[in-house]
Amino acid sequence: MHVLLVDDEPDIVSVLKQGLKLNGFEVDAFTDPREALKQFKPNYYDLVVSDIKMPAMNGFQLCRKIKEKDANVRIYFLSAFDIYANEAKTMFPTLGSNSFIKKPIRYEELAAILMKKG
Amino acid sequence: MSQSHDNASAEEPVQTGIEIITSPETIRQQYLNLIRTSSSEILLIFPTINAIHREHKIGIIEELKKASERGIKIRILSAEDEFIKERLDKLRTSGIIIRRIETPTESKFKMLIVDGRVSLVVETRDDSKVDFSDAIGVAVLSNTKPTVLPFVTIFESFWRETELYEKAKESDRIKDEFVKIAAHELRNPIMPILLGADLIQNSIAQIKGSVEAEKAAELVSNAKLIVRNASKLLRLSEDILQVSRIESGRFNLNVGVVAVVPLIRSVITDVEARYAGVKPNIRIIDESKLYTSDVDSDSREFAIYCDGPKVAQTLFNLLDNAMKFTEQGNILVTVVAHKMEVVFEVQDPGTGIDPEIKGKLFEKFITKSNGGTGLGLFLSKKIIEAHGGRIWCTDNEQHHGTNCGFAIPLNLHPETTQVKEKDINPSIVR
Repeated sequence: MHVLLVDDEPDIVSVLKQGLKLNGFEVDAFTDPREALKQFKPNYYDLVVSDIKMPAMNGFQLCRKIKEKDANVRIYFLSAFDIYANEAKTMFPTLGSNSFIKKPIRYEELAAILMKKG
Repeated sequence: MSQSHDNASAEEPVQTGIEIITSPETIRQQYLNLIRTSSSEILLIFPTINAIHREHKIGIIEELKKASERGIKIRILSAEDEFIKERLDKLRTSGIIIRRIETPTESKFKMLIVDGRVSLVVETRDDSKVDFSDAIGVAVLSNTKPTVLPFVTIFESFWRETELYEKAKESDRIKDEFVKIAAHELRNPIMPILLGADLIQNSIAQIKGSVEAEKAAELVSNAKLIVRNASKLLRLSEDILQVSRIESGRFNLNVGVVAVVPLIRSVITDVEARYAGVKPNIRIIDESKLYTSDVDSDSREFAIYCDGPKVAQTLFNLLDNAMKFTEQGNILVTVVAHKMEVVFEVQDPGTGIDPEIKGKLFEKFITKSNGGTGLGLFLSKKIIEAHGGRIWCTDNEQHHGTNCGFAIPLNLHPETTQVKEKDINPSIVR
């Protein structure tokens, strides 16, 4: 599965990328959401895993633009702030019930969530 | 009525004195008149929300607005709630300064001081009444310095006190906000620490064959140490978050139907996982077959209304404590439904409660364990109390060790939840 990973924390991007690769995912990772959007390849990614609070462009804005380019890609938000969970659901009504992932999360659990559809 | 004459101003003799007024109608007229005729300053205390409603009906609020438009400086100390806020905000926009007072439930008077020269103090006889004339008692109108000045002093000291109170509240709010954000922000760096240590363990597993077994074991043990401590840091930040929610009144229960026996099993599994290999001489005995003294039911279906994750957290805390203070033997977990309560209990054969902290077990940052946050029992107590239940920890008289438990009422009301009555076992919740 192809994953687009976006988080402004380089350390988080680094460990997540390595861990997801070990779990069999193919990962493109970005620390700048604008760059992630620019490099986005429609009909290529299965999943987008994005942080929410980022400078320049937040995860909601990024994913809305991504959805315009590729309506089929599955979106997952990753945040330490659970208050964003409700906002995510309002802004993206089609989000799956497991699409809001609370940081921190270990690989096993994360991989299980990403593998499961819906 | 007593009166005196003050001839200080020869050209314009002013009548001064103290007048006791008993007629509500006269009080109302004086009240309105004083505001209408004020020339520089009005000080006013609205002791209760009801008083504002009544004063609005007799036109006081309107007169205050007009006075403010005439350029009169008006300061009001007022009770305030979200319903009256709009009305008070309208006054605020017309230039009146209003500070909120936290009034005791029974505030017996209202006070008006005009131009620093005249005071009207009105007794509240029955604050529950809708109309001004029914609510008030006797009023004292005065324009003598020795009576007016003390009222001004009282008002000014209330005014200052309110300012201090507001400042204290604001700094409390800032503190809560800081704690909340800090605890959230802690989660971010914890993630790469935890995952980094996982990656290290993974790499060690891959190179295992090519390095000395002892070296590999050492590396694994150090990686585990990182995971253990990062996890502890995470628990601490979660606990602090919950405490901050409680202290700022943002603590809510998410009540639903929860099956008791599976909840207990999953908590036991979690605790066993945490202590796997660490405390090999302890067994946790699940006695949750449920002895129901007044309910005859199948324990598998036994369900209660509660916040499942929070009750699980509480049981986890009790069981975790039991593990910490026990080296060997059996830890018993029981649950009993009795007299409209469900009672969970954890009995351990450990070292018992340290006498030093016996009286303050449920306070914040009280701990005798190595690595505890000192928040577990504090949070547990808040959680159980939010359910209307009880929590306790006592020495186990018979076999040393400790008995800790909590009781949750069985009649937590279904109306407070989204769950329909038929969804739960009718023999349990009656």
